[in-house]
Amino acid sequence: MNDTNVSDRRLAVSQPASGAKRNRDLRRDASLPDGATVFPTLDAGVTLLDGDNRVVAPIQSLVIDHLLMNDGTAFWIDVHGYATTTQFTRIAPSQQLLDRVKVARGFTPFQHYSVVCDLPVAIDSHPDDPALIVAPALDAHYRNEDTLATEQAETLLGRVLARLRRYARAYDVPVLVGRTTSNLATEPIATMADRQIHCEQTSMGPQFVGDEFETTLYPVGDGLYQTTFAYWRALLAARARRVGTPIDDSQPTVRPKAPKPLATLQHGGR
Amino acid sequence: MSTNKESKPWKLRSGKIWRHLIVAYKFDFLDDGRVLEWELTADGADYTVQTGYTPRFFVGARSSSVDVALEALVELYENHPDVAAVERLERRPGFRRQHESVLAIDATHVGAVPTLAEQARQLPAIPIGDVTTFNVDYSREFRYCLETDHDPTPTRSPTTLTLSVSLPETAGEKYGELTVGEKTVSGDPATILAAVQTAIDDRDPDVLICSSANIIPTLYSMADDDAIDWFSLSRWPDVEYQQLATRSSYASYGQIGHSPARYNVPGRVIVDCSNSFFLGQANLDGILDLVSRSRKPLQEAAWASIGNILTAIQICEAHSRDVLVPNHSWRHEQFKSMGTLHNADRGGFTFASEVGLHENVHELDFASLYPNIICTRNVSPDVIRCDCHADRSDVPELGYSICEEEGYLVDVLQPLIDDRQAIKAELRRERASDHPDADRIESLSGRSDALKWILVACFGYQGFNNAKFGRIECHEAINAFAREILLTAKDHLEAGGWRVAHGIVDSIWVKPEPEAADQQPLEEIAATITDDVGIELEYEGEFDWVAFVPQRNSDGGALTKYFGKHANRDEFKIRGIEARQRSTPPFIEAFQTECLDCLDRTRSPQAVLGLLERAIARLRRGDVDPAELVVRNRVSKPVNAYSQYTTNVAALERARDQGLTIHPGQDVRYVVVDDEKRSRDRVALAHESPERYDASYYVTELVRATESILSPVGWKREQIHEELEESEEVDLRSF
Ligand SMILES: [Zn+2]
Repeated sequence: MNDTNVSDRRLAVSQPASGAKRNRDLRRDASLPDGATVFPTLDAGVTLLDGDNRVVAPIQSLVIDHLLMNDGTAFWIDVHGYATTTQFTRIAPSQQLLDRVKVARGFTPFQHYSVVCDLPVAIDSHPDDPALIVAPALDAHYRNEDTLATEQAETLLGRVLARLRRYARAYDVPVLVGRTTSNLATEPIATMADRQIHCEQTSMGPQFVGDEFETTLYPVGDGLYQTTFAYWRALLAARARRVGTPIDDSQPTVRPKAPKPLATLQHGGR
Repeated sequence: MSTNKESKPWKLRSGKIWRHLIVAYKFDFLDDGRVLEWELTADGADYTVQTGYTPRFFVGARSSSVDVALEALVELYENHPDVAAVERLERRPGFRRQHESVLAIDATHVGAVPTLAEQARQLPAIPIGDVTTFNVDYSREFRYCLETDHDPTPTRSPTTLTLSVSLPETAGEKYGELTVGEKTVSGDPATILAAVQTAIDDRDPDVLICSSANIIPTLYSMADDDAIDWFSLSRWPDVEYQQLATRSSYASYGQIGHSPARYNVPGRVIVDCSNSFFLGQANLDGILDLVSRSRKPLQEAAWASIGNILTAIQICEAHSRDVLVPNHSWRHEQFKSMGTLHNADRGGFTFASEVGLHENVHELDFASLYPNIICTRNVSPDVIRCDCHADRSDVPELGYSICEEEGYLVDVLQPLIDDRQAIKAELRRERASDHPDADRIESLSGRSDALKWILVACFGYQGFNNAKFGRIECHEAINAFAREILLTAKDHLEAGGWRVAHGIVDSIWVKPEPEAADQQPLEEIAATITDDVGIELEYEGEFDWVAFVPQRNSDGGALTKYFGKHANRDEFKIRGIEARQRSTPPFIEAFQTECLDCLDRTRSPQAVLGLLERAIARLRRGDVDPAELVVRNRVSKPVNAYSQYTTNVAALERARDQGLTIHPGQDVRYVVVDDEKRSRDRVALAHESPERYDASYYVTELVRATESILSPVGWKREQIHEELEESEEVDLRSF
């Protein structure tokens, strides 16, 4: 594993048994270490991303990856600073992507609910087609008993979920949602989702695991990609280069080093 | 004046001038629904009893795109015993909405409004999210003025009587000593109550200024205990006093606040010194100025926060435009690109401060920068990012449009800016006159201060999540304009041969650029900048020197900490350092001021260190009067909410042991007597008149105060300690 020559195109080898669609992509992309096995493809319908902690970078990475591979605009209903631009500019290979994400923040449950309700107005008045709808931490505002009685909070959250499902169908786009915690109160979010992805920190880096997907590409352990951001940024930059998106000069020009085969880190698949 | 008004006595006006307003300065709400209106007369006050007052709130669609079947609510409310009438009316449910059909619900009692409003959310047919309630959480007297066309501005200067008790007196159930007006009386309850009663009878005060509102129930319970039936504070024979609110904690803008109980005495205004922001930061004249602007009667204005007053002024504006005020703001920000968000998140502008001591520095200030940006650039929630000019880019960096229609916030703030300017001009004239009138100066200062706080807050208010009238896009736009304005100013100054040493928010410090051949006079440049940006840049003055203090753990400048010596006058300008902080003990404050003098005379850090050594020696010898070492801290939370055992906690526990209650918002005053202890013996309370103190604790405080003065010239705490140790060794050797 000392060979870190980029031209050595050994890719991750251990592919999960399911994930058929992804595997097709993989085979097609197998000539480049562009991170193809790092990020799951977001299909139409609602995808719930869970994580061990605040999944800011994972959500942003998935959004960027999706925008690189698809045309259109992402509409992002934000709470609690998940749409932090400081982070986004660090991960995104091109500042052009900043303009392909439209954000509206809900600072209270009332505002959050209204943003969700008014989303069609924003989408319909926008010149580009929607590529993706993002709504992190859906439960965040509906848990504070000082603002809303439990019953009212449940009603509002329920209406938010119903609308997001409707949007997924009506616009035929992926809807990527999240929650701050997984418990009985946030169970309706999981129930509403068509599929779930879990992002967890492993000793080898962050890993996405889902029914049909498992991250199989890992950074080499030589310290170069020890941080999530540097690692993902490099992978996304490689992806951008391949799909022809201009990359900013300030972005790293190195490619991910030869990935490490996953023999030692097998997940049973969920 | 009629004593019986019809049930819906008010009409909404379309103009902005409050026409034909009835004058009254205080309103009392009786349990049976009657309202007492108090009007000041030449030698007291007269009341009118009003029956049939029915406070009104509204229910309407959350957004004009939501179709709500309000009929279901009509039935619900018409059958409710606390409802006097239900009516369909046309109103504007927001500044950006046109007239829509809404329900107006008249309650039988002002206390019933919040509960009734809550019920609008309880029909399964109309789930939460479809409707909004409007005009719900108004304070009572304010609502009454608004709904019944009253102007609460007192027609003459109200008479006052001060009642105050010292902290130790609050320990028991009754007072043994009380200050009534200028006289302190002590003795048994009958003596004390008699003194209060005499003052009330003699002066018949319109306002009772109390050190704590708890004085009212305490005096009455003293009367009860001694079966004294002649004691009365009230101007209305049937009701002695009412409790308006219990002591409570509340969450506000993400922080936990604490408010003491509030009491009401019919016919008189209670001002609770421990619960009045504006009494502390301005004075009664300042509050009275706010009364006429906000239509919040004196008692409510006295306990109001800045945000309460600013909201009330905006509610008046909304009211005059037929606009309803939502109980919760459902209005959200519009979608913007992440690129715009990135630019908007950059915050206010600051020039990188050049840490250090600068000589020959001049200060220039933009007068009321943020309010003036709002007014000159028309930054108002109702016109920013308007649909009708969506293709325009009016806000720098963000590209937001601003409508050509004038925004309501301009109408709200312009009079405040203009009036404060006028008051300040009057102040200058009075001070410069041959026989300055001290009372007039105090009155004008109080009014100027009260307005200053409102103007300072109007910017942050736009960014608050829960501000009824705030809008984050306005907050972002104000910041963007401010950055542009400061950069413009910098360009002009540099072109004129000056160099910017420091800049924050609305102030700029410059000194001559050494490279430049000569400097254009600053007044001249200031005039050019004023012309260019449309907001006055005032030349504040010259300093012999100014020092910008670095942050404690880095080399960067702490933007808000600096001190300097005015040129041509014997005065320092101090911001952010210990001598300016209210908690700093007098001894430390005096020491730091001495250091400033010393630095000014000698420019020698060694000389300042000499002062430090002498002060330490005095402390260690026990030569400092403990009264000079009293720390005064404002209590921010209940004692059990502190996570660390600070000196504050020790002091609060000590007070509790003595039966004293110090509520959040009040001051606790103590001397640190043994900082090593982790018990209530760590401190002694000021009223215990301690005779000793913990010298090493105060030595640390002295070193900290010295560091603030010397860090701009490169001395950090470690070097100060090293220097002290060296000189101690010298001392030892000399023995
Ligand atoms: Zn317009």
